[in-house]
Amino acid sequence: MVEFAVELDGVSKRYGDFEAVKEVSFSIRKGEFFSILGPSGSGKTTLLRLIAGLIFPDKGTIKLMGKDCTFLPPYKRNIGMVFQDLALFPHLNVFDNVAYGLRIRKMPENEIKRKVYECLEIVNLDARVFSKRKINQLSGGQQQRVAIARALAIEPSVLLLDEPLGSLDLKLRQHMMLELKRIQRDVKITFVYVTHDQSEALIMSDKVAVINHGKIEQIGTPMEIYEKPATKFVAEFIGEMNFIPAEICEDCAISELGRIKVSGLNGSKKVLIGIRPERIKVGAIGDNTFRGKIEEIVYLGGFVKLDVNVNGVRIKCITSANGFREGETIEIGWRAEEAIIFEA
Amino acid sequence: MKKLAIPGVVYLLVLFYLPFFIVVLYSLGFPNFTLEFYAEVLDPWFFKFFLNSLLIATITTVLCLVLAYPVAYYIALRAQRWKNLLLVLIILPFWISLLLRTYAVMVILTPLGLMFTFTAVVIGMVYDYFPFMVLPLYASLEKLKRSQLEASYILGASPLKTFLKVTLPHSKPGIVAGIMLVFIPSFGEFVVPSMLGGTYVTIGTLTWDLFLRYHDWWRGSAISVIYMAIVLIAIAIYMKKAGRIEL
Repeated sequence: MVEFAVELDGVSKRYGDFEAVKEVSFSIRKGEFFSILGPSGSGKTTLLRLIAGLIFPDKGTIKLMGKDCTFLPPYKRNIGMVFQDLALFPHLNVFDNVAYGLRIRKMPENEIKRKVYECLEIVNLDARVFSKRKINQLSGGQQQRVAIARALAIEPSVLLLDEPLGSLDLKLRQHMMLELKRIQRDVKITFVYVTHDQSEALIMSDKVAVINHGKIEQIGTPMEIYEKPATKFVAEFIGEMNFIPAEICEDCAISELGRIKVSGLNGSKKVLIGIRPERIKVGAIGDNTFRGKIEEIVYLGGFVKLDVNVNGVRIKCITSANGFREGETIEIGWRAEEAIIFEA
Repeated sequence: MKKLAIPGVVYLLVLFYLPFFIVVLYSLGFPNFTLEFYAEVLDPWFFKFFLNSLLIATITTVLCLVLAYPVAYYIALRAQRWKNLLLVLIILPFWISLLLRTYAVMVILTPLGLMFTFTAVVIGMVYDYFPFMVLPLYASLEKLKRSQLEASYILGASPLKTFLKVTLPHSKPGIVAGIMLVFIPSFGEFVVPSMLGGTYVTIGTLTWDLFLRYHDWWRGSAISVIYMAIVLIAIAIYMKKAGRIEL
């Protein structure tokens, strides 16, 4: 049995002077929902296209199901892909779109019918209603489902998804996220999902790889990525983070806020202390308490976001408490172990 | 809007339907009435000129399609920033009169010893009608997204299969339009065959000669009417065959 569906080893790709992907290595376990998360231009789509075989790397190897596929053309890889623009065939109806890969494989017509119906059922489209529909007669969400069914029909070893939810409105997007997760659990196929949207990555994935400037910043479970960001970039890109420049001095750090207690000090002198807004409590709580003036209040329904000025440093905190006024002086605080220390 | 349409409708009535009506009138023996000109013109001796034209038009259309498709494909899907320049280069010859262009072809064909042959007519026709094939093909291929080709590869289709199953069906409206734009005018073309073809008589050159050399308005008109009927029937059949394509 092969353990990994996708293995990248030292993969690099450059376009002229631009290094799109630099020395990337990672392995994706079979059956995993794996997300590649990064800002636009970070190289995430290039990575996906390398795995698909639509482009070939300059360096490194790519294995699919344990087999070296680095330079195998895409039509010999047996993978599925859902494109950002879906790339459905407008000259074919829903049934023929889903059947496309099966007809290429010369599957008998009665088996094709069974498989197409099965795949349309997986994506929650009634085959009897939709089979004969033309692509341009479908809504955005329905087109999405057809694109997924078409990719699943060939029983790919890996399904690659390139920001497929980008064009949907918020409500539909949230719905499709849960649908995708359900589909992935049902079909048990490895999903590699590219997105710039952190909530998509956190909600759906078993594992997330954060990429920036063509390099992997961190790979981990959504919780690891959020709770223990490895770099300042990851901390900033996923969720919100207050950064307080400080200098380590024996058992604590000196900053513009004053002395900050931190746990697990490392050797470096200049550091950035990161603390999530929702980990900062209002009131004299924890090891670090500071007084500050509320500069701005943003009402978020269930929460309020406060912008507190502590000795000239703006600290954002999120609380479910209510009844604050702008200009009011309050105390905020956090426990030493909630802070994350980055080298400056 | 209704009022704005009047000049166009009047223009069409006066300059197209009225002359057409006069042609039909003459073909019926104006100022008398007789069908003898139709009988004469449908004689096998005359009819072989129709076949000449049909042959020329068919070869021209097929050659234009085969030559124009790769060009249109390249401009639409590969040329990227050269796209507009290449399109201009394709259209550029149109800025020069057809007569001058045909003289230019003569200059090329004469030293090759090809003048006044069937081949010369075909070369001249393909040269003149080539852009009419490229442009509609380009217009339909331009709408083909690269991701559709990639989706086909990923679903297991080789580049050749992808061409046959995605690209070709996608460009069908362009092929249909291109064939019509080339076939219809080349079927009635007279400038190119009369300048390059020598004694090779087509329906176009025949009509020209009947009207302007022999001033035979009646036979000329009868041939014109039959020519139009053939073209109209051909288009009707073709459109039906080509299917309910959204052009």
